[in-house]
Amino acid sequence: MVGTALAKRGVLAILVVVAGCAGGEKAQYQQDHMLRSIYETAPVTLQLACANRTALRHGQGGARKVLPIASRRMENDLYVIMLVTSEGRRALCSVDTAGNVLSIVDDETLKSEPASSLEGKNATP
Amino acid sequence: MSSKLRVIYLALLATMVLFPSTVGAFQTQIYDHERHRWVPYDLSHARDYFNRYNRVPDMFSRQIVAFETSEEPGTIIIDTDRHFLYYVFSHFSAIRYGIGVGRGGFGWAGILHVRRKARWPKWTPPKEMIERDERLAKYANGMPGGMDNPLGARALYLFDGHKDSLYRIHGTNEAWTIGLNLSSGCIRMANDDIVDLYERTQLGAKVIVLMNKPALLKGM
Repeated sequence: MVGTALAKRGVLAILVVVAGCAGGEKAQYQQDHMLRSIYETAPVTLQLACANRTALRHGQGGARKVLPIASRRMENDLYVIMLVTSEGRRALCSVDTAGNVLSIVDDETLKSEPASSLEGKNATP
Repeated sequence: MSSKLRVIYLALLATMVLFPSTVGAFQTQIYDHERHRWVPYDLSHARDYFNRYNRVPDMFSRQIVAFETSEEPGTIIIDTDRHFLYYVFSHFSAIRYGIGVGRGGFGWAGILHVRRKARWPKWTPPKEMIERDERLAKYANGMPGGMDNPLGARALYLFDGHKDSLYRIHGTNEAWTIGLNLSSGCIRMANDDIVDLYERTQLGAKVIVLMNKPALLKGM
């Protein structure tokens, strides 16, 4: 049940992008004395967590290559990441700052699984 | 229901691809004490900082950081947007180095492997680079390694399978360029850092290059 709730939150985050509701979010900062970074992109560890989970879904032992190509912060603790596979497919993944992959939506999923089973399967325990 | 989700998915793809402003942005800034405000960290500010302190900002200095990943130790992960290169030390830590990356239009992402390493490498500018800058024509047959060589003290050659991608991770004698987007797509490191990375890196090491909205994908 917890996994389903997390997955719902992830899918909701993805929907927010479509609705264009995230524009007003404040950028996050990483500051170092006189230098700082302003970013809304996901940290690399979270991007790779999504890539690895997507690779595991697609092939044996993550053999297929999956690369993050865009990301955006949705809330303080939630990011949506766009991925591309070596076969040219695209997928969207939502992940929280703890590295929990909440949902993955891709065209293979849409072809092979009914929506009703999507959320539970995508959730991280 | 499945078709409804497909519509949502396609709408999101279109949104992120066609309207880049909806995709995350990134910028490094430095505090300008004369103008009392944050300004982009560009070549002028980087050179000024380096001249004043004789080093790059702490953010770009070599350091061990917490880094939780399932990638194998020895993997190199490059965060082009933030100008960091991570050498995976364990599944929970990495050595982080500051880097310089490709200027506008030369940004790329991909998954490649280190197939060759060289000390004080010879540099041969690619044909495309000579076409863009005729002054490089005199090096068409190669420039010997040394302090004037733009590849610096060491180079790691990145391959897509067994094909040379022409991209390298290399040193630079212009340390103030770390943290900037100035190269033609190669990854620049301070000479001390590339020597350190060179010693750690094994031939065959996996290199994952990440970039938000890359112009080009390699090894995919």
